[in-house]
Amino acid sequence: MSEPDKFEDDLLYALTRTGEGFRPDQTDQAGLVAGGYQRGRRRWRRRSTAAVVGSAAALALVGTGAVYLTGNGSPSGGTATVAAAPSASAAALTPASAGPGTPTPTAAATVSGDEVLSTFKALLPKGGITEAGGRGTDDPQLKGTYVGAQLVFDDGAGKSLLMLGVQKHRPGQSQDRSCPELKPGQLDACSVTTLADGSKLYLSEGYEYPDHRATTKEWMASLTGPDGREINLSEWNSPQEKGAPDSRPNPPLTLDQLKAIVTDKSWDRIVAAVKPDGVDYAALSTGVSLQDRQAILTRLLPAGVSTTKVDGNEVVMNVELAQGGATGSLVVRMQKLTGQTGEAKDGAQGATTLPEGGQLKLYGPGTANPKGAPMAEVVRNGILVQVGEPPTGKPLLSLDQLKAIATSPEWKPRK
Amino acid sequence: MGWTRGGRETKDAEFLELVSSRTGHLYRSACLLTSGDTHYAEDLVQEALSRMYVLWRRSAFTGGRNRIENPAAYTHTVMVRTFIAQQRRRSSGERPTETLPEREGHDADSSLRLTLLDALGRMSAKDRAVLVLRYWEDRSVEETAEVLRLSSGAVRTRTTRALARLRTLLGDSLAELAAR
Repeated sequence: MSEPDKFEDDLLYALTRTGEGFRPDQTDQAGLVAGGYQRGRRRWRRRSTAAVVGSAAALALVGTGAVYLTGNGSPSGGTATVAAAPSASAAALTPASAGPGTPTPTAAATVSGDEVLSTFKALLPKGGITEAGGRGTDDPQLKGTYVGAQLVFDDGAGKSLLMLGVQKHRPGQSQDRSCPELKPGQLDACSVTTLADGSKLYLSEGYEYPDHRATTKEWMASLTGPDGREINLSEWNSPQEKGAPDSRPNPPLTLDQLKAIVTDKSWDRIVAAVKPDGVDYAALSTGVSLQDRQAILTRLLPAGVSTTKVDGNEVVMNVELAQGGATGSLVVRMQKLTGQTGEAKDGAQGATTLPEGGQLKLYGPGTANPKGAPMAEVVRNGILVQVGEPPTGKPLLSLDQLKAIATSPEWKPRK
Repeated sequence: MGWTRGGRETKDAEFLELVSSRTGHLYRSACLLTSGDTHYAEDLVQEALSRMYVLWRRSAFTGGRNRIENPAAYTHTVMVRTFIAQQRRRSSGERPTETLPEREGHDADSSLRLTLLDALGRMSAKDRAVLVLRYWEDRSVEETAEVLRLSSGAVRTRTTRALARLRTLLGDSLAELAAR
């Protein structure tokens, strides 16, 4: 099962559909051009009074700092909106998503940004430390799935930025890092080794810019452990990632030193407190195995329609169907409702109450939710069952048949 | 060539002609970057165009020495960099816990868009930019690295992380929505 590829495909599709949906009408588009042009004229006039040297790229950068005060005063005032507090309508659209204050019942403990930072500092050789900061599991933006620290380290031979991050993946969801196809000059060194405990260690000596636009170097270590941990550490020969002149020929720590830091036992406590990212299918499972779900489906399919291939996980089942010479497909999702993720479809219309209990919603052409492919969705006793026919192959089942499958009492949880 | 000659009117006409054909696509990219905040997206497009105008004039002014190789693509680059810079300025001054954008201009029943935009809105500006560049604008790792001034390795890492984060936010609702 190549879940990552599948997810990327879905994302590609979703981004395209979503992006293409934004269409400025002709007048708006002309307005945008005119607005940009007017702003550009003003900016050019301000700028052209002074002699400016530098490449086009440098100029684009310079512009960011210098002109913003006036930029923000533009009539549209639009630049302020993203930072605004969540609006009532936005909140209403996402009832199922966890808010920033939602407690995380699975977290073993919390670690603060200061604890992450002090753990990191304790592993460094002697030297001066400035501009230090850490982010812990209590950081509202990171939601406990990522912690990190960064600081500027000086061993006496020049300042250097160091950045460290810790995250955790669920079993089977780690992605080991591999050395890129080496182009000359892109990396000075790269290796991936397996350690005694099964961890994979990636080490590289590279550059901030692969085209060597600046001479800034980035050396890094990345550890992925059998417990799902991923610890990344990077160092630069400059006090900033970019935009600052080099402070020394090379970053201060050797690859061996980087390795010693990322493999240190003192991270165990922090790793334990970090919540795994990815989807916790086990938590959503109804206890009905994939095999049992396939058996249920087989009993419910209309005569003449058979399953030729099934894969899936604790929650989702992807089915290939055959009828005579035609092939089609079906997606069946059965899960516990936890109120955590976007499990119920927001904004769907036309729920009907079933005689035997539960709520039914229909999607697809001819329903109250006409966009997209046909799907029947039943919520009953805290269990969600969705039976949908994706546009792969021939549509072999009618909406009524999807409904008959989804509403069957056979979809009973085992736990 | 018209590049080094001609008065302001000619230059400006060239500029307007160039950007007019690209504005629709620019706007759509901006909408994804801003996770559906169309006001902010409009502002971002105008900001990018205004910067591009300055670069355009400069390329004439310096006799073509700073000639822009692919102005259309470069306008996108300028826009993404502007976006990142604005977000950086913003996040250094204030730390909004949730930056849910104002929602406007989409159908109430379009769960795919709402779900995706909501998830994008919960990600960092750079993560969003990486995903938009790689999966919407279909840029290579190297091109993305160039736009964001990151190393290719950093782009790969960030893409992996951003995908993982998005997956956390979306569960597999995306698969179902995309399938529908």
